[in-house]
Amino acid sequence: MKFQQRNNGTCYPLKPSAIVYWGGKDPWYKYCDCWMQYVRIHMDWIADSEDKMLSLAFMNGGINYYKFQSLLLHQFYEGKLYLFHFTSDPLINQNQTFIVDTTTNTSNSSAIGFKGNSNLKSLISF
Amino acid sequence: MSQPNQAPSFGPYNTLMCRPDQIASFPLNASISKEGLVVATDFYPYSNGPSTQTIFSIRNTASNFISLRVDYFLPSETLNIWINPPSGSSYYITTSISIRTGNESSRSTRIMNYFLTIGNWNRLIFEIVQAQPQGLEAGFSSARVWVNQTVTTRVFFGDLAAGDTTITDGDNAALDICGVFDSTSPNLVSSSLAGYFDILNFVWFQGARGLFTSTTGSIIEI
Repeated sequence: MKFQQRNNGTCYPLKPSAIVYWGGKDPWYKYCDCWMQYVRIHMDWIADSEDKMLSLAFMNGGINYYKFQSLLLHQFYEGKLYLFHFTSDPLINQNQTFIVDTTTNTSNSSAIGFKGNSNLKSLISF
Repeated sequence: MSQPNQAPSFGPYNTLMCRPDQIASFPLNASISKEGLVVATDFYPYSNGPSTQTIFSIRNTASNFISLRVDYFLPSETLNIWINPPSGSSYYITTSISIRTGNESSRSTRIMNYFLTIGNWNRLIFEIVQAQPQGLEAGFSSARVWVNQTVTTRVFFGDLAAGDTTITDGDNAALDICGVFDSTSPNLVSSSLAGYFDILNFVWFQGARGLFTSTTGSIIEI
């Protein structure tokens, strides 16, 4: 277990009129131009059950990634999506490869997979 | 040029027809995220093949270390996820979930009763993901499996503090389907874990993603 240390300094009780600014653009600063994830704010809440403990443990509430920039709030998905097309063409790589489409939040491309073990691809002369 | 012995056949509608001693491999020639993966596929099992059949695995093509496998157990018609930690013995995540092997329709003749099996396609989704950010260097991982919209409870495994990450080795990654690389086998494909099934609509999301059910519809989003 790793605990975040609370900053030393004066702490104030949170009043009902308090406003929480998240990601910047408060009365003093602009948007932080940063990525954020796993942001959680709990008020008047305590993990007094196993379900609540698990909810605290899983920082995956929706797994949405947000970027604060300018005046736009973008939803961003980190990672890559691969879509396999199990079809081959005798005229392409001698019928021994197939297409895998790759998609990120910013780009699309294609790669190839191999029918048979890719470790043997050096034995296959395209 | 003839197909290599390990080359599986492609069937209609972009079906991958996995049979023993065959493998299809997607080498990235790069590292992948060790934070998790989501794989979705349609799966059509048969009553043939070895008792343990690997659907897909994650392998380091340089060391041939296999970080995880998803196996289909033919005798019990169930799925399970095999984890290979950086130290200690490999293990299964004990959350077997049954596969639909078909809708049986009985037919009778004067000689015998027999069954027709139809509709063996199963929609499978595997969510294997970090439960906490691995950057915290504390916590564990989680796995769930959906079979035809029936989902297992979360199963927790690993120890991020000990370096036992969700995907043990993400370097030089390849995703192998149909079979498991085995340097000791003549065809470099494990005979004991050979697949005998069909695959369709295979999708792999690399990275820390979870699945949730849309509150405005009934579609499961990935």
